[in-house]
Amino acid sequence: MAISGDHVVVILDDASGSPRTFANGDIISIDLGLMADQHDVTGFGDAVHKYINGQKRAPVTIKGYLTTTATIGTHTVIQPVFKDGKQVTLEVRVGQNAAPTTGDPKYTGEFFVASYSPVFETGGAVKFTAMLTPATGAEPLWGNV
Amino acid sequence: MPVLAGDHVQVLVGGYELTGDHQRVSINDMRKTHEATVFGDRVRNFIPGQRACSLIHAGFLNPATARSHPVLKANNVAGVVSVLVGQNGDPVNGDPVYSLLALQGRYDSQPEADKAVPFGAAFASKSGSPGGWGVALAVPTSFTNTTTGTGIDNGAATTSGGAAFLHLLQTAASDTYLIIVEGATDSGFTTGLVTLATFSLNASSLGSERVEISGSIPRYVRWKATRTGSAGNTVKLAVNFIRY
Repeated sequence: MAISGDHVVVILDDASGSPRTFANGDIISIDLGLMADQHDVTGFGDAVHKYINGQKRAPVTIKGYLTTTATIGTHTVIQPVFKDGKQVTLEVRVGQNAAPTTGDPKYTGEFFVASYSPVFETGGAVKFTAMLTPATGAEPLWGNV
Repeated sequence: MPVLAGDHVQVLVGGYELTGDHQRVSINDMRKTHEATVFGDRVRNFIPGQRACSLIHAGFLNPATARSHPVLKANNVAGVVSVLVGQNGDPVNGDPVYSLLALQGRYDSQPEADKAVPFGAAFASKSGSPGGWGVALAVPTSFTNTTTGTGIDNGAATTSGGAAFLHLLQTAASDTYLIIVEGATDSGFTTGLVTLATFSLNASSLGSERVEISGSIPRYVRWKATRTGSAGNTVKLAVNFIRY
């Protein structure tokens, strides 16, 4: 069953380490990259290139509207953890055509905010893009709420 | 607080307000990350390094005095660049502001038939100390005599230092001013009063300045300008403040 992307909840630690759930409507998209380095091990006699997997890469890109709501605004949470270089826990819950509930997919991991880039433009809402990179050797995981 | 419209932004470059010539500003604040992946790690992982701050401006080329083209065309701006963000209204004291002691690295334009002439400019950090997000202590404001700004409550005292930024946007013909940023532990500025930053610019010339602040900063902060002279010339300035 295909699921709509409308029912996603993003939770990120703030600068004091408290998990903060961004308000509905503040996050536009979140790109959860999970890819493996692939090393070419093609040899003589192989009809086609073949590969083995190396270590994974897990970059995350969060796009949303810049909000200054106390404790849970996107700017309120992301800017300080970026500025302080703090390790944060990211959790993304994907609802199955409804608000996320027990059993729904959940992606979690430990990250650093590597960049925080708002864009101001006439005739549009203020948006930001934040890039996160893994902070530990433990890979982010898909699990369940 | 709802989503913010991008319409209420003020752009200050050195001693000039260029808001009316800008239509887009991108703030690129990133932290270099150094790979720390070792055997046994399931995923490539990183440690944080130094920050890299840059701003990209875009708008319409305006050749009038003190507007975008004469200010930016020499591609040699070396001063404070600030972006004040109004919260669905004109920026007011206490609103977020991004300030950077910057060095201009680009100015370009692409005139084209049937279109307004655009410009683009890019700035990178000039100082080894970071700029960043803070609050407006004074959105562009005019005065003619000794003035004390409204105190801004930052919620809590901090201990990691910070920086104060000044834009002098209109100068006095003969009066001079001592311009400072001070802090206090109470909103009435009666206890724990301390001068956090003293600017060298005295309102006799347009310009901008960044002053580093080390150590503890009280919860409440405000700006102050004390006049020497009696002419009553009009001065216009903006003051921004960030905590590390």
